[in-house]
Amino acid sequence: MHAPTDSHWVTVKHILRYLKGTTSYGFHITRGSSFALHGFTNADWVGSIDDRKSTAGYLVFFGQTPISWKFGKQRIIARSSTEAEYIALADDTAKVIWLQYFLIDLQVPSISAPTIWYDNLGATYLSANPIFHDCTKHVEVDYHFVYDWAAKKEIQICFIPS
Amino acid sequence: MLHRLIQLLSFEFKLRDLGAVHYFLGIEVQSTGMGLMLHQHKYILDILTRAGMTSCKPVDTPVSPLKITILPDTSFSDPTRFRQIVGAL
Repeated sequence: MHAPTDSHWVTVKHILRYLKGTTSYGFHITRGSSFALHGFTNADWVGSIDDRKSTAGYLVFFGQTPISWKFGKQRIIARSSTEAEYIALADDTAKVIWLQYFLIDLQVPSISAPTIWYDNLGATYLSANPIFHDCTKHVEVDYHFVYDWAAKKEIQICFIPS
Repeated sequence: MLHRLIQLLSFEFKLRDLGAVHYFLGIEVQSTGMGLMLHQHKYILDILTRAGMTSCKPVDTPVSPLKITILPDTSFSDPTRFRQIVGAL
């Protein structure tokens, strides 16, 4: 923001053109009977040409209504696409668990464990199967974090084709 | 239950009931049969008007990460305008 360049402005104009095409988009908050949380996660791999960090994000639905989302560049550099997806999965898991406990605090009758939908089979298998892969420490932490919650059946990781 | 809540709040705080919400912090709220529809149609048009882009061609994606780079580039001629538009997003 302190020193905008011509290419920054081109990017901003691109965003505005996107907004132009989405003026009719919105959130539909519906009166539903489902109190289940559903998280959807996705990541690219080495998308940034400057530092090769991946871009990832999640979107969490409460019943049919989207309530929480975050998209952005990952903090660390992933050395494989599964690694990038797994870091994203760990971020989504942390958020969904937080929301689940928040709902419990609000005494919402949350029926089932939250589900996280995912389009990377490698990461889905990793969360279900404690085979140790040749991971570096940063992913190992995310790996254990997600695996632990999935093993306790506090969350469910499911594959969804992209 | 809602009226009771408003009544209880009014004991503690000075408040005025403005009825159903229609436009709040740039977000439009429309009641549908199924629930509420939240959108920013008006806010988007306001930004496009400020940027002079009301008749621009829409695109399907907001950004291509492959095109964003910190490589040296010429400074934008009107940084204030840049910040005003980005700040509104």
